Amino acid sequence: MADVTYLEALRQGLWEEMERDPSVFILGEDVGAYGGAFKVTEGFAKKFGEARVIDTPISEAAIVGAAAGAAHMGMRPVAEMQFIDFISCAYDMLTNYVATARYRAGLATPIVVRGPCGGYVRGGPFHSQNPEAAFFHTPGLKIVYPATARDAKGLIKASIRDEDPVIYLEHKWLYRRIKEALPEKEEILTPIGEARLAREGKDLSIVTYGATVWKSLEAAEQLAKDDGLSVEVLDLRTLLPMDDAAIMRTVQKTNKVLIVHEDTRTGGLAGEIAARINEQAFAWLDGPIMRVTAHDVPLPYAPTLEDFVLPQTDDIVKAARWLAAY
Amino acid sequence: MPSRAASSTQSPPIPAGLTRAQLLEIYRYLRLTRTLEERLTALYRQSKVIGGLFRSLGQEGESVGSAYALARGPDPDILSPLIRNLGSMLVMGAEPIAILRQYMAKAEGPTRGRELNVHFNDLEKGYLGQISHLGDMVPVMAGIALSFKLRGEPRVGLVYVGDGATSTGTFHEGLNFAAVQKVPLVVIAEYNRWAYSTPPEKQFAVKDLVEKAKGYGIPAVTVDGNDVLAVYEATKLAVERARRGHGVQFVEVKTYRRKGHAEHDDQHYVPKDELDWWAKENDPVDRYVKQLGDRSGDRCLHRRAAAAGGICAGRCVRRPAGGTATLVPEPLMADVTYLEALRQGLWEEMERDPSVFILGEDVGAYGGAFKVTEGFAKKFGEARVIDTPISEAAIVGAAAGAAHMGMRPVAEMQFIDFISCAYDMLTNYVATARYRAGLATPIVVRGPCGGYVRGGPFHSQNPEAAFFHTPGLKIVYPATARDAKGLIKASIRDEDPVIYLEHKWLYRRIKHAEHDDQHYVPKDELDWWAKENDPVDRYVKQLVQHEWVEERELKAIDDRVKVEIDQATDACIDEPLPPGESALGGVYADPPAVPRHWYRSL
Ligand SMILES: Cc1ncc(C[n+]2csc(CCOP(=O)(O)OP(=O)(O)O)c2C)c(N)n1
Ligand SMILES: [Mg+2]
Repeated sequence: MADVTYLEALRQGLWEEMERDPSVFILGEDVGAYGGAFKVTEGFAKKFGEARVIDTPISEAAIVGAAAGAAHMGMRPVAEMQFIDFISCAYDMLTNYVATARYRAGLATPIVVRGPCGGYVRGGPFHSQNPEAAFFHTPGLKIVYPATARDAKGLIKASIRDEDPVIYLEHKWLYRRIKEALPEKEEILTPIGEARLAREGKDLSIVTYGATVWKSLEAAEQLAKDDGLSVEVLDLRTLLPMDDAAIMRTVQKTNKVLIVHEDTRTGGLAGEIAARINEQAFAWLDGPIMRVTAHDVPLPYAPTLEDFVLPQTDDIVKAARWLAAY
Repeated sequence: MPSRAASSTQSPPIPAGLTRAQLLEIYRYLRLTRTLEERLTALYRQSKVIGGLFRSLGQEGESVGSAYALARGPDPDILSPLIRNLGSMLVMGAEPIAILRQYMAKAEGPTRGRELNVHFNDLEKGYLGQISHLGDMVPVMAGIALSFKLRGEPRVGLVYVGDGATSTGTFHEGLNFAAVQKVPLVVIAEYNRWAYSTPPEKQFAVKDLVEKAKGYGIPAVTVDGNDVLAVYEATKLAVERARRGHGVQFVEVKTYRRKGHAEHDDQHYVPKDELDWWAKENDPVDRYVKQLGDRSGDRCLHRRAAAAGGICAGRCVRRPAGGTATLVPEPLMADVTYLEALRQGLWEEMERDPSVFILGEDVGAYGGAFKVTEGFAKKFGEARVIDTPISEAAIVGAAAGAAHMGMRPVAEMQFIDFISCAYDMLTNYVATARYRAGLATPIVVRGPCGGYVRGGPFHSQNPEAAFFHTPGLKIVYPATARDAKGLIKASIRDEDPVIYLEHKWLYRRIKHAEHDDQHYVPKDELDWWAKENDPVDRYVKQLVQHEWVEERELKAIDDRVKVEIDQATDACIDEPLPPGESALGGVYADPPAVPRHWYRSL
């Protein structure tokens, strides 16, 4: 077993699916000979040919729309957004056309729209976004967000095989930062809709996803050491449809829950998660549901500002302490 | 081998009107651009630049040449630069220290560390900061130019767009919008062979960008982008035409991006000899120096330009954040509907403040799909009640541009469902403008929302959740006639962008069918189309005239068709509608595994 990075795991997943199924193809800006802005598709054009690794014009709406059309006809397109921030240019196409196709017209639209998201990299307001909240509200879409190399691979493969449109969010801060040994022979498939228990605990639960899984794990470690607290960390992995059962299980176990996400607070996913816990597990709560999120501003560029705005390990530790003492 | 812009072996004559001092000033800006970028590259290598670094090496000529054609000083023309238009910003008066601070995210920088590279603005000097989403600045600059037109100011807007960015929807929407409105806008399209790693052949199937402009009825010229004076001359002509009221002008500059997309990009996809050729044979600065022919002079200028960094203090331009006016709506007469109350509010604000104007689809003579703006065009004139193309991104973008310049636009979405087409513009451009660039954007985007009216999935939406998450927007949603009026007035006076949601089910409450009575269509025109140009009539005439068929055969078909339709109608007319619960499910291939309604068992 070789150690592979999150980025390499994603690459492997894509590669294997391209090999397995000739109806899978890739389209996006600079994905061909250049190999993509972050080199996720490096070597793909050479191996699979330019017809299956298509360099497109800078037209996100056209990329997604064309992917949908091809998918209706039985293809399995994987569309890359150069940065996920530019998915906003395909917002209408995704929420009105793609998401409603099955419901209103009985059309299968098995597309994957993937791209680098997230901050902690000094990318400024237009190269750091977490767009899940913009799409989470739309019935018909699925959203996955791996935090580990294993899930980066398992979820891209599952997304490609899924019968519905999937937005696959890959955190660029994790691309080369985390590594994991992955078996070379075994096929890795992560089921869509299932959360992952990233750390077991009994005093308090942290429900999170993406880069903040790692911040939460760091916080849990620190809380164990300094405060003797046993913190459970649940990595959602799939945001839509959400694994309510896993959330309720951990709430029922620890009776205290802290929701952590990197995206901004107002209208963010934490609000919806809190509402679900309130509806489904109110009786098990021993304290208020708390949130640690980014502040409600566009993400600024200067390191000092970005660090202040984004949730950090310390913020999680503080909130967890407060909640544990409640 | 890709086409190369014609290298000029013989220099054109120095354009009329340029003095010797101006020629030297142009040179200074060329040098300043190159030197500053070289310095930035050094800083980048020392990790002093926080994010990426974008070079304009080889393109300084078109940036400087085009910007130099604009009016500077008090009430300047306004340009919107891209990452490769550092030279244009310098010409308009951006200070090198501001650029350096911005790249290094300094607290004293023009955006105080919020935005990066050349994303900042100074409207008093004449440049508006871009956002990353390519193409978005075209509608916004159309709006800036629109504000000039509305107020009769002799000013011009200029927007740069890359060859790659001409693939975006916003580019096309903005261009078309501006063309139809005949606003004083100059578009400089930079054909520099690359968009990141992608060549033009993979961006578009036309050869030259001017062909895109021509499709919108916009006069367009191509110029050798590495000939500074040629660019200056072409732009000058375009600017003067725009200023004289001839509408949008399009200048395509043929040039070449000699560095990678950004400094991290090693350009392995670029033929080496091509790069060499452009560096050796077609460098805009070298060519300009040759043209000038004054070698002693430029050495001295070279030193002056190199010393220019660091002399000016950076300044962050921010308009003060305005307070929200709390308005007590005037007492309404009894029996005013929600819709009428909204109408009154709009009307009163239009009367009160000449900077308020309305734009949207069919809002003018037609009075809007729901008649909210009925009678407005007549009272306030077409210039203030603007019928726009079907381009929601352009409507919102143009509103934003005009708002930056002090106008108070009210943009109508015909149905609020179509606000999704302006999602990027609203959440990325409009919502962030104050935070990232200190720009006030007091716009109102309003439109009919909501269901209970059998509108189906695309004429019934409530879009608040899509925007609620975005810091920088405000959302209001009146439920009473009193609030319909009070909130539209407060929204117009608000200093920030407001999405005003008006529920169409509340508009009249009492049933009051208001069909399209086609009052805007000349009666005789309708008659002519009915009598003289009905396609079925014409086809029948043809068939009979040529004796291809007999009239009775046609009659038999008519009868059969009637029966067929009658039968189908009879069959379905009494069929039941689907049961309500059947609305659930069918969104995904497999139903979600998780039971949705646990709480019912609590
Ligand atoms: C809507 C959108 N999609 C993708 C990108 C990522 N991106 C940034 S610059 C660029 C290439 C731009 O090429 P071009 O317009 O030709 O400008 P140039 O770099 O040549 O000046 C791309 C794809 C973006 N900024 N905006
Ligand atoms: Mg280009």
